[in-house]
Amino acid sequence: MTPQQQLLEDTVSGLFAKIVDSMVSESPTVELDVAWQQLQQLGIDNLFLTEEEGGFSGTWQDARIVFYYTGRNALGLPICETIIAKKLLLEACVSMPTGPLTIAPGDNLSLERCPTSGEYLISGRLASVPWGRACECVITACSHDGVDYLLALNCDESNYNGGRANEAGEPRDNLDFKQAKIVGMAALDGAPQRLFRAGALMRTAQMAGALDAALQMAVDHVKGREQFGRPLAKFQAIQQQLAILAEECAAVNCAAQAAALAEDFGDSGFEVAAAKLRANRSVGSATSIAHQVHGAIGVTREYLLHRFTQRLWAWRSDFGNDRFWAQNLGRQVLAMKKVGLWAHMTALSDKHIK
Amino acid sequence: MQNFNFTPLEMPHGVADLRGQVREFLDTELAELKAVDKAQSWAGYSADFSRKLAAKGWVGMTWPKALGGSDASALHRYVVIEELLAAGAPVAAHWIADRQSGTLMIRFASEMVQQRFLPAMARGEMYFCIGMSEPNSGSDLASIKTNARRVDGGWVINGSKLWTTNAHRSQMMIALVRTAPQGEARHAGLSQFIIDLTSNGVRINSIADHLGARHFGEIFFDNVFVGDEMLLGAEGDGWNQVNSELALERSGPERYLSSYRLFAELLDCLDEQCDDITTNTIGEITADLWTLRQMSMSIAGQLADGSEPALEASMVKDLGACFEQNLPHTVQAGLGASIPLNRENDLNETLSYLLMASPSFSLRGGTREILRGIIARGLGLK
Repeated sequence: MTPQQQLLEDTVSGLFAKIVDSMVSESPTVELDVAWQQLQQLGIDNLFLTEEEGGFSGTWQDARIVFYYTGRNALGLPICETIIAKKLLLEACVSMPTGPLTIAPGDNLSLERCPTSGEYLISGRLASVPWGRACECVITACSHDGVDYLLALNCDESNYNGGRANEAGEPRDNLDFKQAKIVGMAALDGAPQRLFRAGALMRTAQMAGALDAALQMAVDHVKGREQFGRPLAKFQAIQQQLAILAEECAAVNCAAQAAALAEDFGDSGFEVAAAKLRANRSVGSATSIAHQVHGAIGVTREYLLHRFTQRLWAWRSDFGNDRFWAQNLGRQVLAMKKVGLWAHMTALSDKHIK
Repeated sequence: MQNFNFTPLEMPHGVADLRGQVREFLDTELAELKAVDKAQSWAGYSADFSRKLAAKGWVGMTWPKALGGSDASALHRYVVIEELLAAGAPVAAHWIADRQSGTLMIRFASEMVQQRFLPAMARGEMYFCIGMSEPNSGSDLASIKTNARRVDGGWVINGSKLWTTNAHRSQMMIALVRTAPQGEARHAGLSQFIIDLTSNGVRINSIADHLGARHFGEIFFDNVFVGDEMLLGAEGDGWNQVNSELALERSGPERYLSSYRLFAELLDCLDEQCDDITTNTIGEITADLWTLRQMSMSIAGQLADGSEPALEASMVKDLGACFEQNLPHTVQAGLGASIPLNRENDLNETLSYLLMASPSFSLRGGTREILRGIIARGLGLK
């Protein structure tokens, strides 16, 4: 970790913990304004922008740190989504809206020209948009006539059409656009894939954070709780289970870091697929161990383990569930017939030269 | 709770070229090797192959040139061994000497002893085994009974070792023995010795495993004399030395690649148009494989920088062993549809071998339960 990354880590880990502590309500939208100001004051949302623009000239490896600590602290704000939205807008040279932003895949969107003005209009649904109604703009992507576009859409231009909050109570809103105006638009090669991949990398790193938090709670609990006259921590059955949980934490952390490094080196379609799939595959055993060692207290509203396990259950489905990425990665590997998986995998990491 | 360090590895310059050279060499050398023999991975024994590999400078490559090595970086060695394992090269003969005995001797042996052994080891001609387990001491290593008694000019060793890999095919052993009776501190009084297995008083039997293969054995020491110079490191420091040695051997690519040949055979059998369930399986195996490789490489990078991430290394070994062991079962479960069922083909022969060979993957080098105990200790639970 570079000294700058260490500073970033110290800053966000402290700040996120403070914000979460101050959020009295379990409904994050209420506190969004106050908390958001604190994030903006430090320029966290501008991570990828240059110092002159109020950012850090950040990399994906830097962003990974922010993503991780939102998961580690269960920070219920769309800060990661905003960081990615601004990164994509920056790449596409689209002007930057202020305030919280969100991202959503635009597979069901269609573009058409307005017969009178000639400008592009957008129609279709963005489903389960994170904090959709709380954000001014949603950044999405679609293809039209063989060209990939990045789009900034004003959420107020859409009709809110329900949507179900995720397992952790984070808003997931369906936004319907009907020949709506487009705030910003630019051609960006591979925009739909880049947006989806960035989302998957974000969730992978957040899941690593949430897993570490669940492990921490489990370890603290078994050290303090006594049964049969000694702490649970002293039972081999408990020790062996927590070792498995720790291994899952380690694997997902490693995968998230390696995928962020790959994204900094360019096309990371293979690495992000592998990393998100590995993270998804950890969720079942990791959350069940974390809950099991807690006993009944772990499933109460009062005890905060659920902040992390609920997010893990929710994020497993976000930006590609197991089936999605297993099919994607499986097809990538089967298409490598001539080169071979081993040659492909080593060629990818051999690019990452010190 | 400490965070586990898995900083991604960035490779040093020149690895892609080196990889290419190793592949070119292996293309020729392994051309005639059957699929099921490649699947033996680092249990595949060929002294002929070891000598040829050594002639290329790829045995003992991190050792000093003066001792027959190439002064190469640990990461360049990492690249070579992962290529050897991925291709299924028969590396067993020189494996232990290259992986740990040489490094251990560079740290703890006298220059005279180094000069005596390392050049022959780097030529791929002198092989080592590790004497740890005994008839009554497996996971509880500190309970070993084999002992060394001080005599004029050296030591006399009595006792026996069991489950020693390549006991009958190695010239030398590095053994952990008692030099003082077990006291209150269970791990005190242990020392490491280099033992010439052709010495008077050494008797070796190989043991057949359930496949009929003979890769491990038992060794009896009946008043075996070793000179003073064969004491490795300090008397009584054996436990610490062994532990730092184990950290070196727990996170290498051999901890997750032991079943890789089966995956390679499977991919060879499949068309690009493959049923969804098989495609899913390929994706899942690949995600695990890629992640384990990142973990293993991260630790290689940390070791190269001089740290000893013992806890993380134990995690890699346990996760890696689970992966290697599950792979044959996953492939067997998915046979049919896009995967050919013909029992005589390479895939099925490889599968059959690995189903039977894989139980040892979570035993050798520290059992699953011991590793998880180490991890639990790292979590502060013990």
